Amino acid sequence: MSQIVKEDGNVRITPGIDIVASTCTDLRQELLGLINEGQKKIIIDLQDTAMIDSSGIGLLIYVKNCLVDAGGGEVEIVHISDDIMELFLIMRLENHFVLRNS
Amino acid sequence: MTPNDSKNSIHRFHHRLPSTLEGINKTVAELTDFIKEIELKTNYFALIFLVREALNNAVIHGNKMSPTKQVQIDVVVEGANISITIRDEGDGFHWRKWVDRQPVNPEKTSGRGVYALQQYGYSIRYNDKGNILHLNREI
Repeated sequence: MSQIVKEDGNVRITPGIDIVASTCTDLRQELLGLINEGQKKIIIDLQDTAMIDSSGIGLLIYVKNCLVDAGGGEVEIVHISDDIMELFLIMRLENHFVLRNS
Repeated sequence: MTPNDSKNSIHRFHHRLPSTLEGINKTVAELTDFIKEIELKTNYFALIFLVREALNNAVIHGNKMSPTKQVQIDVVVEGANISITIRDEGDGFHWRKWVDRQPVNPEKTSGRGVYALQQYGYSIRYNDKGNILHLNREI
């Protein structure tokens, strides 16, 4: 289960695990729960996440699309490792999310 | 995993896995141990990412997670070359329409699997049917 902290109108969710096909179902439910609460800015903290696969990338995009469908919102991804940042850039996601390595 | 053949500098990894997501995780963990054991000098993230993508494709799309079907992975490190072969027991797919495509629209939640496999400098080759994938590159 992810660590979830709500403060200043934002919510920060830290999965603490790799975001891959086997972990996406549970994480999707947690993220959808936040959207259903009406959260508009979701910060996804990738500290302790060493790997993400295309299922995980699909999940992040799904969350962003759900926020848009719910009236707008923002997904910020932070503490991205160099390897995952390179992957996000290869997948051309830099204009879809706010990406930070800190 | 089979033992290393140090005389010929050939290292082999072989594994058969059930068509489950847990099977993918277990195989990736064993492969990670293998490449550390042979002290392979390569981009570990890229290698593990590509193997995960290929196993995802084989388990989810190839075998459709059938409990009666398995996936086989063979990794051979020979000198400065690494080759990876992954075969599933599914019906294959029309891989030609996916290879060399540009990345999907960033708003799409799927369709990145084959594109992902073509990154990080590995050559990619399928058999005609599309149920056997070969990845290869110089280390």
